[in-house]
Amino acid sequence: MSVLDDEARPVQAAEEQTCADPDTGRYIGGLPVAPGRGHPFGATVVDGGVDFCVYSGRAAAVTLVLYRRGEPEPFAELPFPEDFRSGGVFAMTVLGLDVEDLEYGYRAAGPAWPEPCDRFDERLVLSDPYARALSGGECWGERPAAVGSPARPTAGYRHRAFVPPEDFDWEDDRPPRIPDTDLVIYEAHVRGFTQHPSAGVHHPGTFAGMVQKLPYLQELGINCIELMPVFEYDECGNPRRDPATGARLHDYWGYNTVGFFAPKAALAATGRLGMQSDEFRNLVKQAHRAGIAVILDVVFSHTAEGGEQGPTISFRGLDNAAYYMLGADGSHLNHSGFGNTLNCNDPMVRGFVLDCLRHWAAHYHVDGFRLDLAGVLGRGPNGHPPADPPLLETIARDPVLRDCKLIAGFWGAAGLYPPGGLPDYCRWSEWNGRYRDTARRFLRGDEGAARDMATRFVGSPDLYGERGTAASVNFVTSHDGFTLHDLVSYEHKRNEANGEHGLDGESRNLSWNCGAEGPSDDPQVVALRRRQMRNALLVLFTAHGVPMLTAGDEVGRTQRGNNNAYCQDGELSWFDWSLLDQEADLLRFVRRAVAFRRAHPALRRPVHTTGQANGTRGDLFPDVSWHGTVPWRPDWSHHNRLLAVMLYDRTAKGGHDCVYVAMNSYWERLELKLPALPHPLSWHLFADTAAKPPHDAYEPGEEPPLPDRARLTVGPRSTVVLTARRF
Amino acid sequence: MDIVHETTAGQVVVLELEGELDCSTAPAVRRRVAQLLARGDRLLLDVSALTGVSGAGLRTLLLAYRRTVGSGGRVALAGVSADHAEIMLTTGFRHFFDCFETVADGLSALAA
Repeated sequence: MSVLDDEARPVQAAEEQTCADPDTGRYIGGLPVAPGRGHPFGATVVDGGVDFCVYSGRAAAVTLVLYRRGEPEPFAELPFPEDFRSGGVFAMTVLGLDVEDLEYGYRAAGPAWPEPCDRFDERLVLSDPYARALSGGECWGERPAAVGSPARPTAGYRHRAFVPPEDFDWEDDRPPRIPDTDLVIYEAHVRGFTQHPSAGVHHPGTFAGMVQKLPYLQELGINCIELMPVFEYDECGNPRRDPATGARLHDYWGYNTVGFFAPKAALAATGRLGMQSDEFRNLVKQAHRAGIAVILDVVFSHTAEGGEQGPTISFRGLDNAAYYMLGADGSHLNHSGFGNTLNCNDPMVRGFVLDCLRHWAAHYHVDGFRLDLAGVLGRGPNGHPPADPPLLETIARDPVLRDCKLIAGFWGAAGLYPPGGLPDYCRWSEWNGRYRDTARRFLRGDEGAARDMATRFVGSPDLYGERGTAASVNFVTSHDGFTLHDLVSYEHKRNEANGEHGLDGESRNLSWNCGAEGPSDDPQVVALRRRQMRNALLVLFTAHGVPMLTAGDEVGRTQRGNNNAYCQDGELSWFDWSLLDQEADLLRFVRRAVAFRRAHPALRRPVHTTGQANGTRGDLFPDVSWHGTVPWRPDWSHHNRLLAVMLYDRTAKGGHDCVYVAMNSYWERLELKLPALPHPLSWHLFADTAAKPPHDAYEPGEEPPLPDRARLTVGPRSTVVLTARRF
Repeated sequence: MDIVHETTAGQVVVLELEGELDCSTAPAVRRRVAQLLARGDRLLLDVSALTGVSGAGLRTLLLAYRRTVGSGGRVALAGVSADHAEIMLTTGFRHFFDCFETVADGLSALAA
């Protein structure tokens, strides 16, 4: 079997010191070599050696630099001879290498600054853009000593590429293949999820730690985790300090990628053994066994190389002009807000992005991707949005990625594509920012928000009419912004600790503090906040579309008003597991809300509602109907703050599924007359956010009947959810 | 240092590994394991005297398991330290192995 062959051959070759390629008999740098294959890019174990293949369209010369593991100086440097080059591709097979004791990089020579678009510097050893694993960053927050400083920028080689074993045993791993409309997404940061001491896992802050918490997610009803960046990034790349403590800040989130093909070693307990690839694969495998899909948050808009003053790690030194969008004077264009913009419309970079996604789908079995700043991908060579973004279409139609979930983040730096404006090729879903904003406005009681809330609630047909409800990933909070707890506790961000005088982060949060800013022990404020969080959760879990929960919101996690915790590697951003006890009521409420969603097909329709009843199949009601204090009479006037909706669908067994949701964001209680149900059905109470726990929500099947089947009292700023059942 | 002591106990070959199992010592172990398993032998790897195991070393153990698939051979480990067991668990290949506290336990299981 090929796995065994791949393992055994290079080792054997190393021992027997295989002679040079019999055809050429060539040695370079003292090592036997043969012409490489020119495909695939990266370093690939082949019969008797390792094939190295790298692209540089403008380099005059490229040199392969080989190290033994962890050693500061290379043991060999091998310039690519002219005949090992096809076009811009340099390819060489080095025979008799032991990959387990090998690290490698490249030097590239070519026109140097001030040549407008090139940044070649032969003194630097560059990381392979296709490196499948990097060493040098195994220990979170620590830089190896032999790394360059601003004074000695060319010292050392930090992000050291190596060839990880590809013999992970997936056994019978199968993707969960969860239908899009059944997804319940949970957005989490691998380190933040279990780094807090209260997590009680063997390996805090790692893929292994997350495996230990999969049962928690299962119990919560989550069937999809969306992992914030897991590609190699440099958490030490943040130059700022906390102004109060002087402590160094991090790039904790990791949206500045160093290695697009490499799982981050510092997120693996076994990174010190170079086994991060195995550990991450094991997370995916175990998640699949738990019925949980894994989606990666990936960032192709920019790299960790930053702007002109940023470090040269890889792309800039190999082919600045191909990888990055440059101005007429050769300077980096900064569409992304991160100093540089990957040139995703360059056909070579498009290939790079596609290779990367295929790599994670095929070799790591991930189930999908969320592309941050997807708007940047859809930008033509002149920086303007093209009508038909080639990369988005390529990804959407790729055969390897056919079954992957594709989710676009919506933040183009210049707001190029508003929600729903991105071409979707019937494949792309999208973080629905309109849903988030409208839900926040509605929940805090803004005048005029109810109408738009109605549209958002039924899957935003105005935005995604042709794609169906699953195109809309609904969320009230995400990692970027206030947590749910803070959304109902702060009206102003508190970002001073980020070292930018509190100026960073979004200022328009559409939040409401419920009467006191920040921590409060006023029982009325506390009670209102608890209700508001529950209102938000019900609006999220009963709406059409795909709900996304931010890790920790199910237990009221706070960031003390910090709405941009990208640099906060500490208690502020870590999941505090002691909240599971402290907020047990809220956690139970969320579990039940998720379970309710799972129990009701009327909440998970793939196709947008029409407002019509299907008479031929004997439907009792239209698929959606709107109501007011009087049934069938919704109030669409500007001042109205009540939204009452009945969703109806048939169950798989042909039964009736009917859910009634009354969302009252008015500050007074309202008396509602309910739509009449035909005998023997009657209204049962699933949730009432005005009720005391544990009567704020019930297990599916245990909903008590309403005392008055025709009337309902909805408390001030409260949400009630009913379901029709046999009495 | 000689890393392998090889003894035969009944039908089972016991390989005792000592010192560091890393990329300099692993190839020899790997070769011997392959030879033994190719013959369809039952193999007990006594790892209690290992002072350290690198990623390459762990893969040697994994490879031993792979060689048993379809060869009719069997392999088990004796004396796995808590540390090494944890690494194997974390990277997802702990459950491939039968692990025994002592060589005697391993021998009686493999002899069965």
